[in-house]
Amino acid sequence: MSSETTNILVVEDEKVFAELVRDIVTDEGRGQYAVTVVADLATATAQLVAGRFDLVLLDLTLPDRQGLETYQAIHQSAPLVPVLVLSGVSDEEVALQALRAGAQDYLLKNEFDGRLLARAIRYAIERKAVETRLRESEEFFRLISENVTDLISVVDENGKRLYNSPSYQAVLGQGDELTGSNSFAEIHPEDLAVIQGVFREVVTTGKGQRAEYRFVRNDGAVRHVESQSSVIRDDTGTPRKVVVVSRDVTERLAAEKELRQALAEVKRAHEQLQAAQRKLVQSEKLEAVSTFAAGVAHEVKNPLQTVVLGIDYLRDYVVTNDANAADLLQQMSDAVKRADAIVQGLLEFSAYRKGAVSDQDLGQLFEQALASLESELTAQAIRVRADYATSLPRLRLDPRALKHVLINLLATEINGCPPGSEFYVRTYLRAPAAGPNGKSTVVAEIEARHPAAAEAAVIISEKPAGGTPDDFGIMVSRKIIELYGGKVECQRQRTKRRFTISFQT
Amino acid sequence: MTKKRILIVDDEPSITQLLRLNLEKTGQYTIRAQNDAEAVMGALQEFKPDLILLDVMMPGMDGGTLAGKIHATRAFKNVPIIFLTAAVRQEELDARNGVIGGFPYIAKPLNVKGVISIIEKYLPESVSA
Repeated sequence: MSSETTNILVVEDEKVFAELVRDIVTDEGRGQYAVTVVADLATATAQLVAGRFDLVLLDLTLPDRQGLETYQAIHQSAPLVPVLVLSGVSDEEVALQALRAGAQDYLLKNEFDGRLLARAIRYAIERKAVETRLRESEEFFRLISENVTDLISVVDENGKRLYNSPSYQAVLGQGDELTGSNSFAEIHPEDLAVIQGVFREVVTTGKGQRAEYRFVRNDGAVRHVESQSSVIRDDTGTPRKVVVVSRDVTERLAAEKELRQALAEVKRAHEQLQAAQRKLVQSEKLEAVSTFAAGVAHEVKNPLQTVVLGIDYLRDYVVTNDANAADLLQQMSDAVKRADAIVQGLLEFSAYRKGAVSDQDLGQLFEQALASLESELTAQAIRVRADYATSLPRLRLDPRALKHVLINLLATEINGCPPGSEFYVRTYLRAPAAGPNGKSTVVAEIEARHPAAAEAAVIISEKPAGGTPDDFGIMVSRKIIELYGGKVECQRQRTKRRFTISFQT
Repeated sequence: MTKKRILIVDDEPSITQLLRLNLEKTGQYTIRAQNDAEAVMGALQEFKPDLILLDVMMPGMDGGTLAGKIHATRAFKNVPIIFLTAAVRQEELDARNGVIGGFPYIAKPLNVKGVISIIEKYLPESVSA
């Protein structure tokens, strides 16, 4: 079949009428119509199955079949080919039935003329083509709507359901039977008012909206959905239908909730870890205090010993001559006992022993001490610039005791410096002094400076008039370092303060 | 009667001096005070003590190490050493009969009477007789 030629099958057992039709059609078609005439249903269906026709002109009364069945047989043979029924007045009723069953049109044989027939043929072919395209497109969209997991629903402007995709079955437990029902019926009572409001707005404004709400199924289960609506307008532009595409987000929400819980747990675990870390740092500081206390105890015991021995020595001289002096010595002796008890308490608190020594890197001990004081450094806005020498000779030390001393020394510096100061921490190896017995020295320095100190805007340190608690702390720290064979030097100037700790190797 | 010779080693001069004064006052002892731990070996050769009072913690020198060194020297291996310590409580010592790790200890601060009683306990019989 060429695109210009329309192939027409005429099924008519009355030979004269059949030829008349052929003549009219051929004339009207001006060479565009190719006509085939058959006289019975069997030949007609065979032709339809074998060939490709654009139209069938069908007499319903054939020798081998009559009535509506004739149309049905033809239609089954070629469902896509349009059928024009040729009918006598007596069987117009059957022709109407054929029309309802899908025939394009019917023509009464007695009212027949060429122009009428030609027009009926054109219309029938055109209409059938439109119908086919429509059915194909319907089929296409039906396939889509039946195969998506999203919920597609069309409702009228009052919310009555006109269409629901089969996917509704999975969510609501209901499918086809939803058609005609109220689309708000299954919405959770708590969400209903809001969603009805949204729907009214969509219909009034014609502007689609997104919404989240819950469905309550017949079995009581709650499903969370997320919807996007859009309107279908009539010819006048008035919104008449609303298309709602929804998605069941129950699982997603549950997963999100689990994720949030998991995140919260991770966060909580992290916070616990941080708290534990803080506690650890805190306990390290406590331990530093304890080492400090032990140092104090140790350092106080020596002068106490001196006092005790002094009292003993003096006693023989004064007892005989001066009762008051004897009494005084006794009081002194008691005072020493009290002081000793206090010191003893400190010693017990700290349970201090010169700990197990091992090979230590001074730079590493500094790093650890600074790490313990991080919050103090931050609070005073002190920036630390560290420069640790690599491969320094190791020192035989009790690392815990030394670290605690460093913590105390650094804490003293932090408290003594104005905010915004800078700490320059460095370790290095000092070359041995000349001579056969010269030994090299491991040195650690902390120098505190302030950017504004050069212009004398900030005073880093003023030489204290008398002893201060800081100086006492330094004294104790110095004694502990000396126990390990080290030395502490302390310089304080208006523009900088510096500590040097050194150990001969 | 021969006075007993006691070497006192402590980095604190006030302690060595007062111990010396108090002990010498009894007329029973000859005392030598030594504040520099490094010089102890030399002082031993010279002074030949009957007993040594030795501070445990001194700068640059561990009393324990020094004691080991003294007892490793043939001439002094039987000289009793009593440690002076600021790190141990007297109660702890009493509980151990004054001995830690085989050595007698004196916990600072202790009065002269206490010091003498411990010295007398550990002085060799032949000398104190």
